[in-house]
Amino acid sequence: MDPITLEVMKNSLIGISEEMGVTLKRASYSPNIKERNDFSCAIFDIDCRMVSQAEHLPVHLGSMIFSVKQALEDFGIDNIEEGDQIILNDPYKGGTHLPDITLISPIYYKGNIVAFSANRAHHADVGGISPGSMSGNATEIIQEGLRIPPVKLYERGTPNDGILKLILANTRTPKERAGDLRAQVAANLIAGRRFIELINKYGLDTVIEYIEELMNYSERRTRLEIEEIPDGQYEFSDYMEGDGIEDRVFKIHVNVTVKGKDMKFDFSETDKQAKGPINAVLPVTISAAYYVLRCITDPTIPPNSGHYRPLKINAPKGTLVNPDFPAPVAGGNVETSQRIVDVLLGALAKAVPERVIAACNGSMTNIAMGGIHPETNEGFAYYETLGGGFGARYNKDGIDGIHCHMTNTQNTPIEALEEKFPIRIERYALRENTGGLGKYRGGCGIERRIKLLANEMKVSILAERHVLSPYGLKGGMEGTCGESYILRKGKKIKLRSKDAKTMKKGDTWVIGSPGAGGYGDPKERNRELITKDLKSGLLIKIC
Amino acid sequence: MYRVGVDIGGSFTDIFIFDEETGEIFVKKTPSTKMPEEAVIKGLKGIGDKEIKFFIHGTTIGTNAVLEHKGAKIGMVTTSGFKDIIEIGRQSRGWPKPEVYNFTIERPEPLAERHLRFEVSERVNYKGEVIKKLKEEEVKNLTEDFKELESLAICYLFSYINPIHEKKTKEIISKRLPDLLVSTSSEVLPEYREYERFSTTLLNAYIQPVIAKYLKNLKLKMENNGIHKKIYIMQSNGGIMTEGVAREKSVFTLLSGPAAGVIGANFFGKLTGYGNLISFDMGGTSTDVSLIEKNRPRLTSEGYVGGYPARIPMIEINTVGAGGGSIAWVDRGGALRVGPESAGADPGPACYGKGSYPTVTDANLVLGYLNPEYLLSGKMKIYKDRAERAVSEIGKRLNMDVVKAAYGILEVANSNIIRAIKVISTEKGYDPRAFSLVCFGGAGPLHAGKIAKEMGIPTVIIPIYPGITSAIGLLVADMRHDFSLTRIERLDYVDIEFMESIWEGLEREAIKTLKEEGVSEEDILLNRSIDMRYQGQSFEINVKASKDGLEEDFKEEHEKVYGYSSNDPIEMVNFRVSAIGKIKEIRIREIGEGDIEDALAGKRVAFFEGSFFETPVYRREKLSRGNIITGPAIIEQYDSTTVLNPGDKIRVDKYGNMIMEVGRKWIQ
Repeated sequence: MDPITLEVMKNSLIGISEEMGVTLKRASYSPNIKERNDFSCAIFDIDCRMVSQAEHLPVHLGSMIFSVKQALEDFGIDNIEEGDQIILNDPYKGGTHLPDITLISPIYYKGNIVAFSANRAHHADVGGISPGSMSGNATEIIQEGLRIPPVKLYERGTPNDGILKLILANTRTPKERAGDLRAQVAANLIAGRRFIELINKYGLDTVIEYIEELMNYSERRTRLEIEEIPDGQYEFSDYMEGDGIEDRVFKIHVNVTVKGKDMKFDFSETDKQAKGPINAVLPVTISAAYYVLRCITDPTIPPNSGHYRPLKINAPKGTLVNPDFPAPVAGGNVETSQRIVDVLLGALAKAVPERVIAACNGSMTNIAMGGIHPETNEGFAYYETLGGGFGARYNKDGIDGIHCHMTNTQNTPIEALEEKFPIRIERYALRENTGGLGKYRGGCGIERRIKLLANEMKVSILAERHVLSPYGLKGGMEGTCGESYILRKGKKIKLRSKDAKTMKKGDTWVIGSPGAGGYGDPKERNRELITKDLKSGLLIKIC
Repeated sequence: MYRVGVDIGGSFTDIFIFDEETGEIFVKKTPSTKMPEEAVIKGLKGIGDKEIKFFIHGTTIGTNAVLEHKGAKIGMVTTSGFKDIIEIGRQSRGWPKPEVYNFTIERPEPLAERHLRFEVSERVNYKGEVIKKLKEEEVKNLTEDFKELESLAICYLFSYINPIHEKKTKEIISKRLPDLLVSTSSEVLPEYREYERFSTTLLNAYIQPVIAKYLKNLKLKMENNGIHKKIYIMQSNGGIMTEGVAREKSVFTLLSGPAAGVIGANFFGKLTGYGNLISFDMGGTSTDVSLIEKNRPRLTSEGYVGGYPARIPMIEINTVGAGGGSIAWVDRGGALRVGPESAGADPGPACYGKGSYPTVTDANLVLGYLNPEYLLSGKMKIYKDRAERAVSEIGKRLNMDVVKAAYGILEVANSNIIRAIKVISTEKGYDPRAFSLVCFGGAGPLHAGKIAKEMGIPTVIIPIYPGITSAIGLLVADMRHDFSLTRIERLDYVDIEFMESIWEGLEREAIKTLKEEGVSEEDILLNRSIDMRYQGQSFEINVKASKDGLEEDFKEEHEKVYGYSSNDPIEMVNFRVSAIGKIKEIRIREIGEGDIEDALAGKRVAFFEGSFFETPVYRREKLSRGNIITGPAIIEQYDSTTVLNPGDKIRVDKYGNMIMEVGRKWIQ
């Protein structure tokens, strides 16, 4: 092994997955991909191992392996031909939740498959009972939208019009979908081209040798980090507050075992799967686990299958973290994944408290609105997520009003929103006094106030932490819960964390996202930081 | 008559003097001073007012104030309910690049502290209609709170379409506090997207007092020394403006340093007859790369300074932490890494004799590319043994000899730079093989040949003075102002008069500004353009304005950039006018003819194609027009060294620029 070639090869492979992302973003149509970056791109070797992935959204990290495996299993490697593009979104067949559509294509060199390129993008609508395909009260996946098992969207370079037509007939926004799918194809093609260039430069054997080496390298670095974590068993549990159907809590439990250079996350004491859409399929659970591994080891380790080798995950079938068909799953990605992270960090806090942070706001606070625009008489739909508090660190405060852990999407500017939808934003500000107190305080949540200018509008929310607050660490206090209500003629109409209501003209919808947990005993907070908070007005409670 | 350029750096203040009659350039270096203008005055000693034609100033004062958080104490007035927009930003983490796995991230502190962000009752809607009248009493009551401030930013929602409340607020405040500097978002950047507009306005407010104070002092001191010339300031768009305008539109001076380098590279591209260029500026700590198409640098308005968005037009530059001083290290997994940490100037590379960090410069020395005795034509002694020791330490950890390790350090550094060049070329749809590499900065010419070969770039241009190419950019830049205004309208709903009236308004403003700066009408060049998108999209494409073909031009551009176009309705978003005041082009001195043998200074062993060769070393200053050098060879000059690899060839043009023809990649 030559460490110089290793470094150069690493740069080239990461470069390829990044260029895929640039291509996808450039050619796509929808704001979801273009502005919010809700996609990811990766390359896999012939043994279905991940070779490199660009740093886009954590919620996709490492989970595309399942898609490639499923495609291979369904078709058999001999039946995947040059120019094929296999499409899928079925969470029970290699996907995560239905809006995430994955495209996989083989990379051929001299008549043989040498690798695969794959990319996944969140599509704004794939049908189902509610616009945006993120219903908060579905009880089976069939209600959530169109399920696509692995099928060939392109065969030997030729589009399969039948399948495309079928997909487009099952979405509320077919034009946008067609454009985004075209972009996904383009991204896979560019990866193939660049990978062949790499082979032409170094030779196939060398490329394969160094891919292996690169995985070993990531594994080595990961194991060195794990070795520094004290051996032992660390347990933690936290809860989801309702699934939109049943009014009860759902436990997620983990038992983390660290032994030498190996680590195991065991979720066997987690509750059974829910009736409502908060189930996280195994790939989502694994993404959350990989996310935590990456954060607590070293985020500069190249993300590939070697990075994950030291980690074993046990998530029994039929549980909230590995449900059986036909459980609905839309919220598994956006909400349950956040709680899995909280649980893992809570357990690891007992082993390496300086490598973890107190609980973040723990939700993506998904809000959706839809109705008829009075000026155009056309239907409109608007989907947004709200950031919240970022957890306090062992040596400094958290961050106010920001997207945390598994998501990092951007907001829509108010000046763009009001131009498009019959609403007026009355307030978009930090929620004072919502960060958990501590030696270092948690970040504050966000408040958004939306006034309706049209006659009527349906609104729905898919959120968490409105009842069970984000935990603090080492004596730090909990963050304040989120809330949501409609103001109608001075009266408050309360919404639950997973709820839907109809607004009337003149109503104002208030959504507050949760704050984050604090770290350390609040009595130890230094004067300077207290003065700063008092001055800024973000914290006026002092214990 | 002289054109004088000033560049204030961390350790030295450089004065560049270009003699318009002879085409010669002189450089004067003076140590930088605590009050930066003192070094400038010192450097100008001996030059009379009458001899100076232009005085052009590149300044990092604004940029440094932002990066070091040493700007003014500022306040902000904004629409009630929205004082935290500037803090929340776009809700995502990473500024500007996403950083999703890092628990230690810090959001840049808002430039106006929260208790100095004030809300007043007022509201305008997206059509520009006032739906809540400004409560003037609230503004009046606030003026007490402003007394401790040096500068104030007024930022209201939708002010780009109707600035009435921002104007009124400014009027009320200025009447009561005439000395307080006030920036309004509708004046600084009348474009939509509140966070980005507010941020740009706050940046302006933050650096305005710092720049105004500096320019006032400089002007005063210059006049005391008998120099009464106008001061021109470099901007991030690659143009210059007068000091009067810079005091108002201070934000336009941000990141102007690297922009000057691109203008310099473009100047040498034009001089040597090349239009499609990649400028490659490699210094001590980092490398800046930028793409120039048909002699026009690519602009972006999505730049960031210190993590804060600045939506002003900037030359698009990609920076990577790979320079001569970048430190080589072995990571925990056993891979060789180079940078982004740099040994800087102190202690500097191991060969400087102070420290023991193995750097890119040390690797170049070990391989025989750099002079083993001295740098800067003998002014600086270097220690090759120390470089060898440092590099062999790295080698030991990798199980390689010192030569292999040195070679590896350069390979890794080059691969970082290649990645940076791909980001501005292949990833934007440009094939680098259709471009020429203009290399400068102290370390650029050492690496350019190898990088060009690796990327299939056929030509490398090494300007006559690689070390001061940026300074030449200062001396040759035109005056330039960019004006913009957001008006979101469907293209098929508006008539040409509507568009004309917006452009004419912007042009009036542009012409007025340039005339006030002393540019005569015939030297003014106006370019209209417009940002458009398909309705429903949230990103725009800039299209040059034409009388009727707007729709077709937009579709064509969309096809080129995004790979498709459609018949969906098209929306206009931002109207733009860029106004250029032409400055007389400079002519640099031509060199004479002579024999190549006269430039041969000696031979030394250097590493090529896997072994050491006796390699001829030439003195750049002694090269003559038409000289041809074939690789392998090394060409030394005062502040830079060029490496010519086997299979490549250099031709010297009549100005002394070297044009390298890069042969095909050799087999290792």
